[in-house]
Amino acid sequence: MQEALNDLENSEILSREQAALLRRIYGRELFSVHWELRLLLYGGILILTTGLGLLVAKHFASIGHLTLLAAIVLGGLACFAYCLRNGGGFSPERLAAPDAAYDYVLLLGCLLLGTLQGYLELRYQLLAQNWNWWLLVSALTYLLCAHYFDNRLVLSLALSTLGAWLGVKTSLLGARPWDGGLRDNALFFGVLVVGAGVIQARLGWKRHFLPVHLHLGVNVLLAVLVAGVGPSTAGATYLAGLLLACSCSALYALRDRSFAFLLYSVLYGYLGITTFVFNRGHWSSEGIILYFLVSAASLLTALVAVHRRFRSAE
Amino acid sequence: MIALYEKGDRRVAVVEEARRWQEAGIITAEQAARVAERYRPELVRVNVFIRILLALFTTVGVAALVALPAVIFDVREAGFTLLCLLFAPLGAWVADKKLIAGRRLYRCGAEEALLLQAVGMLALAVAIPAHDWGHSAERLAWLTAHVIVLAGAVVLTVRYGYALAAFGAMLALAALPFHLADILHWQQPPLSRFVLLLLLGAAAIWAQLRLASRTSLPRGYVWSLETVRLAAWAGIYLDVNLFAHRLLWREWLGWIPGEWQLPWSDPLCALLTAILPVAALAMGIGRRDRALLWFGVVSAILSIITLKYYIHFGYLAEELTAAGLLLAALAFSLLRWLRAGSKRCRGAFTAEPLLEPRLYGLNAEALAAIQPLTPAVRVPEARGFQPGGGTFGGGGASGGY
Repeated sequence: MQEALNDLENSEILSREQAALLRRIYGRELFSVHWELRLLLYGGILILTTGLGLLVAKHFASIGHLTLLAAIVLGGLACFAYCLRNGGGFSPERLAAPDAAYDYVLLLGCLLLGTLQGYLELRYQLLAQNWNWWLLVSALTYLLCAHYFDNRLVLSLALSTLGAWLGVKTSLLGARPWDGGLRDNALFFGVLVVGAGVIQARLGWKRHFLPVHLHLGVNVLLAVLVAGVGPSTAGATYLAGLLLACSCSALYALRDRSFAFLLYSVLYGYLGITTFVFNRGHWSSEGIILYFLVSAASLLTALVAVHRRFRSAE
Repeated sequence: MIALYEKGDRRVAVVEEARRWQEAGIITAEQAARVAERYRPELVRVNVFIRILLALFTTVGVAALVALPAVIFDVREAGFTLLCLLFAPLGAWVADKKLIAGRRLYRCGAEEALLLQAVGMLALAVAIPAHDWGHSAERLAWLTAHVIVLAGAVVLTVRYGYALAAFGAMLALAALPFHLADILHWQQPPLSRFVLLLLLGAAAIWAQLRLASRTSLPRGYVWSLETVRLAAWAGIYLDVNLFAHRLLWREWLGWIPGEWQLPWSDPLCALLTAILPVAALAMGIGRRDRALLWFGVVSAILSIITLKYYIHFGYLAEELTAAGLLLAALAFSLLRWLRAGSKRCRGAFTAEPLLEPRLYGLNAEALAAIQPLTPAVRVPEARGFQPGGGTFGGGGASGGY
């Protein structure tokens, strides 16, 4: 890299200051430990919240409920106070984090909030049979925090908690995993997440949240549609939906050069079609092998063609 | 490594780095475009997601291609050997001559899958027909297949610089002592582990020594050496720390898989569980080596959780709470200390993000939904980061991890 830097400086593509800074970075005279400290903070907060959860479960009788409650509430409030004090307030645009600890303090505050809700339910059984509503409360609170403090980590937490609430709610109604009811709810969740992300982006409101919405929503949506393509009577409908969703995902990938969505569409689409094909009709061993041979060759040809079109897309 | 890749890979590296400089706000988009134009590589660059798909469907296609005549002609062991011996060199030839030399498709997924499958087929060609030759011959044949995989992975690493092949070679190397123990009927299980530790230690030292001259090595070869070094460290750490799990099993299930017979082994393993992360961190800081720093941080967190199975400090809840507080406070203090330094630096170290971590073509946004370390929302600074400080040199430092 030093040779390249010399060359770029001599050809006046880089200024002397830029080349000098880059030389110091590549020569390890200037070394950033930004990501290592973030990892340490994240690990610390995860261990701390796990420990606190266990501590509450173990000692809530001996320490005293009010003491524990007060400690959790104070801890959570301190985190949110730090974020309110150091954050830039709400903005529909991207906000720069004031420091590397900011995101993780917010995460700690949100996790403490979850611990508090769990504790309240465990001790006082405020919602009893309807305890799943705590998940909705958590999800909405996290959503609020993610948008106010501009944090994608908490947004991921909010969306996954919302999905968990939908799943738990459906399972409490007696549905088994991947039953029709659960599938419908998951479908609704996937569409909701993708739709919310797209609408937000169209409105120019937290546009940078769109990838989080899309990655989560598209994966849920495609997984549910693949699960529906089976021996059931609605298999053909699910397959049609899957092909439509995969096409949209692939088109988005090609338009925005975001090839992760091409990967999703090809993998889920292939899985869905293969399941559908093998569930209908009796196949001999030769037929199955021939299917894989022809489909793999076709996909390889198509992928090479796509790649040629986007040759510079790394 | 083949000269064509070496030269082409260097150009690819410069273009990729220029993108990182632009993202960090060090250079403008126009400058990045001029760098890309000047260092336009001859090799075709394939997006990582398309690469995954190409690798996957090449694997499916070749497996079907081998299976089809096997099913049609109802071949048995000898026939399968013949098929493997036919397809293995064919796959290697197509990958090398047609894809890499002919179409300049290096690291495109398809050629990597073809070469890995060629090695796998050669190993199977030796092992499968031995099924009919008796128990001893069969065991020996599987050992030969193991050695073929090890040798094949090493050849792929040296010739093509594939980090994945280096990782496969390390796995094969780590499994070798146990395979040998099975064949040679070693009655002392600790002997296998001792040989394993020696092998991994030797691999780690060798890779570390080779990495000293990393600036003159091809990029793929550096990645492979990094893989060997980290896999060796991780193997040693896991082997030592597995004893924690052994004690955990005793605590939870009242059952111990393979009792260790030496009286000093538990204290030694506890000591190494504590020392290895500290040693990695110390080496990482001293050499400014990012790979060792990451290994040190991750293994330190694991050690905090697992050391309790050696030394009883207190109850799990209190230990975890204290450890979490300690880690978070340490990271927070370090952040503040580094930021309070002259021009936000202390010596050569800064907590400011200089260049985004290289994700090898992965979109950072793609990981945001699933990974914990969501990149901070950053607005590139107009003039880039303008740091000061940092006076001592970077001898032996690892670059470009």
